[in-house]
Amino acid sequence: MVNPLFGILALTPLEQAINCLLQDDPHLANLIEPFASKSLEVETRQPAMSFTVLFESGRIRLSIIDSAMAGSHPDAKVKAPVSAMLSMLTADAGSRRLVNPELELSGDIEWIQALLSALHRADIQWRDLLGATLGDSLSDQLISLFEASSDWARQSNTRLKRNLEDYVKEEIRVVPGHHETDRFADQLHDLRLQLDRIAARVQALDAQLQSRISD
Amino acid sequence: MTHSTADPNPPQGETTHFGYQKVPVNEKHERVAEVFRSVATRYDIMNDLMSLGTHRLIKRFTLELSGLRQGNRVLDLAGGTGDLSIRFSPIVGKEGHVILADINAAMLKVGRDRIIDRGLASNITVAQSDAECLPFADNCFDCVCIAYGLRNLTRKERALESILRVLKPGGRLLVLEFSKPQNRFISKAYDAFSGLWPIAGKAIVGDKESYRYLVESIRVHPDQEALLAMLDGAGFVDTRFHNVLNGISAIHVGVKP
Repeated sequence: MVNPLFGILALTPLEQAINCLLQDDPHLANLIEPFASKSLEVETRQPAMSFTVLFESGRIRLSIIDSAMAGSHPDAKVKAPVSAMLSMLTADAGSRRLVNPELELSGDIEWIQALLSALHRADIQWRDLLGATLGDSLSDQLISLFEASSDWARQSNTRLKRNLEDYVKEEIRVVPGHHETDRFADQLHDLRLQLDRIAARVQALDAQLQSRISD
Repeated sequence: MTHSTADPNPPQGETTHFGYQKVPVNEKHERVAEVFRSVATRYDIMNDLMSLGTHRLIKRFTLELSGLRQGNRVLDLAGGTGDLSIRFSPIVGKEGHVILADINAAMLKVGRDRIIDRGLASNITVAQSDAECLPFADNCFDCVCIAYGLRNLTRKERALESILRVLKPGGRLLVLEFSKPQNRFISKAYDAFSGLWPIAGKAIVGDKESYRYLVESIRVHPDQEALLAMLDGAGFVDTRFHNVLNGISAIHVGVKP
């Protein structure tokens, strides 16, 4: 465990910001209310951190004490690298958020799913959340920086995919292009139809032959 | 925080520590009471100064070790100005209850005023009481916490027995107290730093002697292992301690079987 005092120093502002948000946003507070008295132990890798989220009525508590030290059992435990944890939190509601080989879940999984689904419905106003601790000006700057970075990451990802596709299809021709594969699939489909027609015709002729023999 | 108790019938000639001095048992009670009467109004400011603010983090760590949940009952023993009671209050919630207990009326008055000012009086009760014979029913607390108070007690063993009685089976005792630094250089630096406390006490509270007692009482207080043995001897199980700031403070935990 990290030095407990450093852990407390890091978690306390985050806890205060979340509790401010819960106080100011009754919708979010109502979504969290059913989880009162539950606890979730979170253990991350890269970087290694461990803390427990304790849900209380109208507030949460972030504790650096893990279940071994507290001598108690959390309702659920999540163990994963930070990147996997973030993608689980930010994934779309329809996607299979918990299907990730890097995620280790134990305890009441149904409860984790309910919590994730509540968080997805929460529509958290990050500007308000950060503003409560960092002030409006700094939080605006940080959010703008984050939005610019995520735009850049999305555009770079799209560009990289397109360039890679052009390279392997057009330049080194390792894989056929979309049009060629579509044409080949169409030909296959036609061939299958012709075969089906021939098989049906053979069956009809065979039936005719059988009836003449019997006459 | 404060605490000391006079035995109504102490054996003749029995003495105890008051800092580096040996004093009759009954005299310690009055002298400790005088120390805390003198510093009560500026106690929290001095705490911030002497710990450079770290006492807030240490108390938060203590609170996390308590394992308290909504609806629990907790006794903040020798709780003085109510620093820990104020932190316990939102955790135990409306269904739970915190008792802030101390033998020193001056310290309790400061604590009570703080609690009322913060609007927390609904689940905190203030009780002037003696740690060595607690005026509470058997098995009624989920947690008893004594922060920076144990070293001021005249008979620590008797207080531990009393705490064990009022704890519910499975209930937890937390003792936050100054202890012995584990590193020699840190120990030297800490000794030098704590030597400045009486000077700061004179400048801020106008009382050098009380802070001289504080420094001396820390130095004669049992170290981590000795206090752990005391908890074991009193009948607590699953005892352990957590050093904080290299052992300048230590949090001892024990569970009532």
